[in-house]
Amino acid sequence: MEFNSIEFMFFFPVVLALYFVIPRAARQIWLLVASYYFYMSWNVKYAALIAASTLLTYLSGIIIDKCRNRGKKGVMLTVLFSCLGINLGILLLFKYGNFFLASLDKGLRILHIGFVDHRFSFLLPVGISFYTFQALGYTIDVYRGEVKAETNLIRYALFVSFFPQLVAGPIERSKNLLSQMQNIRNLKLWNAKRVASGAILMVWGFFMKMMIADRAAVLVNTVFDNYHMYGSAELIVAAVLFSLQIYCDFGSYSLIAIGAAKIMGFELMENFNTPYFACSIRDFWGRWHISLSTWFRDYLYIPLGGNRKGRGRKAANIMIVFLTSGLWHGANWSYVVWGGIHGAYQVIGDFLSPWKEKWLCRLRVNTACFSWKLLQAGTTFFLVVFAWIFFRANSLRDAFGYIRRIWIRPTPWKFFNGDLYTLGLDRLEMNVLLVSIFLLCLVDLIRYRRKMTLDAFLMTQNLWFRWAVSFGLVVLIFVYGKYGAGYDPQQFIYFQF
Amino acid sequence: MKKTAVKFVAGALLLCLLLWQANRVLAVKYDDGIYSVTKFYELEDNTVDVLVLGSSHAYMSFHTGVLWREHGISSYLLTASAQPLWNSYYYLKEALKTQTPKLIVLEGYRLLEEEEYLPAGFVIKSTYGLKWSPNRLDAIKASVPQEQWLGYMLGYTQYHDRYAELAEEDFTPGKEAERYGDWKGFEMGMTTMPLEQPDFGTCTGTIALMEKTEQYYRAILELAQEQNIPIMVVIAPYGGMTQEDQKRFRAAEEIAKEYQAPFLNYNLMEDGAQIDYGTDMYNTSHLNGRGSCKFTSKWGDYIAGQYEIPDHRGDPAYESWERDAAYLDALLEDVELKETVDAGRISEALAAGNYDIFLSVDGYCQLEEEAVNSVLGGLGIGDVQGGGLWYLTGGDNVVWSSGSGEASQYFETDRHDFGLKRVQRPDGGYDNEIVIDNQNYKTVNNGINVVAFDNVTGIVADSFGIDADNEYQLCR
Repeated sequence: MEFNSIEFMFFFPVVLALYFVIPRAARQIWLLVASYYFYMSWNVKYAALIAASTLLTYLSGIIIDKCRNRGKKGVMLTVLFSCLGINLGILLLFKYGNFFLASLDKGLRILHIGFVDHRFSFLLPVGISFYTFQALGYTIDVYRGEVKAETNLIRYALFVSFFPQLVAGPIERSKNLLSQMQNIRNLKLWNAKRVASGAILMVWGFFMKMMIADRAAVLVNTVFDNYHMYGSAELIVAAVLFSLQIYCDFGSYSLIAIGAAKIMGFELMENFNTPYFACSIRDFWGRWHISLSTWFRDYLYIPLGGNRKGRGRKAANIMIVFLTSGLWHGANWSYVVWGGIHGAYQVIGDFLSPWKEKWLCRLRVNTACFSWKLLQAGTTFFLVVFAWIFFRANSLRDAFGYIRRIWIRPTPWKFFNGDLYTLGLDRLEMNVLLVSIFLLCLVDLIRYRRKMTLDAFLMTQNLWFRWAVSFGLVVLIFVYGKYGAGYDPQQFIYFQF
Repeated sequence: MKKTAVKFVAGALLLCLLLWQANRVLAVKYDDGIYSVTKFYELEDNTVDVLVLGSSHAYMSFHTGVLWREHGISSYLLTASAQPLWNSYYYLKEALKTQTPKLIVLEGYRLLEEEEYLPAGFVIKSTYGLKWSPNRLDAIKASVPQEQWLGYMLGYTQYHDRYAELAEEDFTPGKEAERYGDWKGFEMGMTTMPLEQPDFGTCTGTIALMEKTEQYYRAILELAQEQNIPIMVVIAPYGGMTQEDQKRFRAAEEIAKEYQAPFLNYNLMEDGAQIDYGTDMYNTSHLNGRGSCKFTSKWGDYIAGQYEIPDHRGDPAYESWERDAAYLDALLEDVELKETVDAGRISEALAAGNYDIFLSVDGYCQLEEEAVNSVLGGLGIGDVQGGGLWYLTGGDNVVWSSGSGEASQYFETDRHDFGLKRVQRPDGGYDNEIVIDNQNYKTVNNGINVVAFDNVTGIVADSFGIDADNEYQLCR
């Protein structure tokens, strides 16, 4: 059940209505039932996987906590690593099993040693990377003594499976979400401002998904799937639009999740903060998929030594984190290369930094003005778009082929002669897309300049304006949104991760 | 708390109003499906004596005007394009809520249906006209697989992407085109596709109907029986009946016999509708206006003789059938006019008809040419030296003329705009423009151009020119 499905249109109000009226003691169990129903709407069998992961990390947490009280550090470590090993093993098997077999097969064939023709036949469980990381984060937090082990299994199961953020994040921390769930009985649900705020976030999320992401996807898919047929103009437009598509697709899921949770009285962490206004790649990763970036920082980068062990080790740590992040995104070498490119951007940036500072000083470049920030943001955007080509291409070979054609097939006249309207979006559709992107820029500018999310901004405005914007967005989605019979559903991209 | 609740309710109402308006504009308004039901709901209760169900074969064959003119029968065609029998069944159920016809007619072409589910467009045409009721929900459930029920029931998910094709009628409820004022469901084929007289041959044996089709076919027959309303099955003439079709129709006929329902296949009847396939067909599947008149006349005689159906001519309560017939008469005249190729006969038709005529004399033109003379003379236009523009009503009543110099004039009615403009070119000559509803009508550059606008049907019935560059031939 996707957020932009008819089923969710009925599911959420029903869950919400009952959640608001049932006795406080039943809230937790009701949300757990709803969450499992939500998850099982994809595949009933895979509920067993999430249940197993929940049970394993729950027991590990309790054992680790008890061992700490008794001073058994060795057992603690053993339990921690067993828990990590089993959970990551499940993740590796279901998500990367075929990838490893295929890569091994390829390697053996190249060396003429033999071949591996076995492949696993199971489907990738939806959201497995998200809930596995969330549960592992909790186990590590317990091990570090940063949170106490949760003894209430129902509450812990709800923390792992909470339906708004179950399949595509944000990857919540136990310190934040679990502690809120411990307070679920005392939540004051009837809070008009909070509910309105959550609803606005949901509407804006649907706008990003149905007006921008799914509309841009039409052109993006046309070009990326047939890139041999296109020249630089179409390829560049498709790459830029994919950058917006993935932002609006993933960003929208997070916003809908945050909004839905907010209506129910929970504050989830922010996952995107105007990523394309970033002035450097490091800045970009502080704004893009924040819950994953901070997860890797806290549970991988810092344990590896972070920046505390010299420049070389820091560079190696960055590369490890980004290559892992690439692999986390998908079982394909193109994702690994995408992660590697982002890692390399940062490593090169670090090495060039003193040289850059020196030259900026010598050339007396004013770095405190808008034009410098614009140049930095533009450069960052260009680098990010370039890397997205690897992310979106169907294979590594396609990614290189795509870039090659941008270079060898210049077609600048196509920006002017109307050919861009033949890529799946006619003039009207393109206009709708451009107006929607303009609105996205406005909302992101408010976030960037005034440090306010759309809901917070609207709450400071007069009622007529708040209603005009909110209702206007709903009507726009109702009329121009991509859904219904003629709609080719573009699944939320991050579901596959 | 109270203030918050008031705000919440007001906001929700406002949002619902906005969405309702958006839905109303975007909702599909097909005339070959949706409209037949929405107009049906507007009828006075118990005014329809003959109710016809079926697909395009029904709405292009049963001429409601002929039935009224010849027998005073008030009929209504409750049909939709490619309507399968399961939808006809729910249309009938819905119709019987307000009407008690003296005769139900099922046009049976869709007895040949072999697909359990039809494409979305046809499903929408056969279900979305129905008011929200169990019948509508059941019709949808019968029309699409279970996993699609919800989407179709919500409605707007199926048609919201119509925004690219919105037109005037989507925004102007109640301001319907002339044709829908008293519409009774008949669609006239306005052109002719000459076909060879088919030889359907003879065959024996039967082929069973598709299970779902038979189930609803029987349901229709049973429903009529339960209500004590006579029902008959008619196969209207069409050009492509195969031997396989015949075998299925024979199977259907046997089922009809079980219910004592007459089954008339006009394709096989020796004294059938006497259709001339060279002049009476719109395409291989449907009759044109002439064909539908012939067929309905023949079939009307049959039902008038077999059933007790009252003659309502002269009854003020049935005036809308009279207006429907008048509209269809005018429409047929339009068809005839457009198919006439002799300038003299056209001139007579124009002078006699209910047309607004716009005429221009353009460029060089020999006024003594016979074709030019007959048109101008027939319309009573005398002095045309130097060219010009004329607007005439009632055959020869000149409302406005430009004279030989520059001039322009605009006219408007409730629904239509007319513009006449005569402008001098740099070379000293003149350009004439006849614009109706933003469309420019000009057939020839040298000669005369004539546009006939039918006030009854609200359409440009004909637009032609006498071409001085082509030996004063008539051009369209």
